[in-house]
Amino acid sequence: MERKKIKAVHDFDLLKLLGTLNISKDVKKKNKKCKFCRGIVTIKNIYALFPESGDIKIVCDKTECIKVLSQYLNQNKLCD
Amino acid sequence: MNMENWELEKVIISSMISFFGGGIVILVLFLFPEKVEKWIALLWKLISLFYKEGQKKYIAHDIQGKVNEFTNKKLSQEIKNYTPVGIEIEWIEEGQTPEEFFSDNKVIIRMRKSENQNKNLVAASMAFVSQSLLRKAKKYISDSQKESIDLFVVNKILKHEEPDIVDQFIQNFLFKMVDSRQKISEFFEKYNCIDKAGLFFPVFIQEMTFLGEKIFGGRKDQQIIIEVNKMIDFLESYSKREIGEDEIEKNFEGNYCRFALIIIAKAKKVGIGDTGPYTRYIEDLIRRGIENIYIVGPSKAENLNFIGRVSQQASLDHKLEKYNEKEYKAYIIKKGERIQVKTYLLVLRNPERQYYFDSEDQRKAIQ
Repeated sequence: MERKKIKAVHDFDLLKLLGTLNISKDVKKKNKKCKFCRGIVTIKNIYALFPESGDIKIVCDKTECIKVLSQYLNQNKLCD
Repeated sequence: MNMENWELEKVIISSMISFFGGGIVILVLFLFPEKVEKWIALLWKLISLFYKEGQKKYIAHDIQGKVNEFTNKKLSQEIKNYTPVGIEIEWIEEGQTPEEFFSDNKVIIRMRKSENQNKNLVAASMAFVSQSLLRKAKKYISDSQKESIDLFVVNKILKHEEPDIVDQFIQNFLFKMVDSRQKISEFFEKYNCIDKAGLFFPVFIQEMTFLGEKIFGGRKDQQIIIEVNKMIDFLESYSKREIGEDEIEKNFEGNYCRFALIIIAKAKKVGIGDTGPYTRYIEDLIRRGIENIYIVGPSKAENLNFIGRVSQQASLDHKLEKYNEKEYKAYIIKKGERIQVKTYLLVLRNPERQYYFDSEDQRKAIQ
């Protein structure tokens, strides 16, 4: 069976990933906003990350934002 | 973890088991890979009590086992010619550069600690279903149609694998939404009704798959969206029919989707054994341009034999292709109550079906 890869980061590695992306300070200082609802992003409420126009976009874990992200995926904007 | 690692892991585990004389277990490993993946997940859950990194293995195998069992067992059996696509969780590993993990422009989903595995399952299922189900047809339908189908299928995965979290999922994703989302809830309710009659996957999703296969290129056309809405309404109203109710519309004659549902259930007609009325009816359907015929009836020996004769004759007369057959439990309405009935479904396809290669074909279709 062909398998579709879903990229994931575990809680254990999240801070390291944010560090690698040079956005951990911004997140800790609450300077980052959710791509969809524009609400403040914190370590606790990060749901997903993706690159767009040379920047890293973050999606928060609000139900509405999770659904909008699904639409984004549906429109093939973030998948192969 | 990538595919090669998982394959390697399977080989290592198989070898270990075979070393201890478990030939039968190896057979199970390859015959029921999803079940085995679930057992491996449990093993890693135990290991994760002592070894922190084991959590990631547990989370990945648990999600893969659950989602893949659903796709492999449910979707591939219900939808003919559905190429099962499974899920694979690929962790962002230490040492990878942003260029490496964003090289394919994909989203990274956050997985929480294993105490929140239900949240992880929902997150992974949402991402997976959005990207893998009805990829072709989704190019032509509306956002609310797409979103509602995805939510309904995720709901089905959860019902199958983690029924305890279904209520919470529905509360969060359907009922806590603002008014603009009402359309999605309405679709969801309709799918639920269609699913009770056993027609969601084998008829609705099947027709959506056909729709995706017959339209090429082109833009999203409002006509297709309207037609899909009508098809949902048609199947909902059909699913609400009472046993013996004959006045209801049985054919869906759209511009893109053209199918008919035939019920063969009346003991008296089956007892007489004359297939003529049914084959003549099928002839009429073919003349009207119906492309797919779904024959439904109780899964009883006498009835199955009769349906077989009808389909054989119709196939001979009109070169219809026997596309799919399956038995399933349908919940149909008798005197206002839904009762469970063991049902048989046979799908016949007309090989002379219309394809829409460009906007000109599409314009012709809707004239």
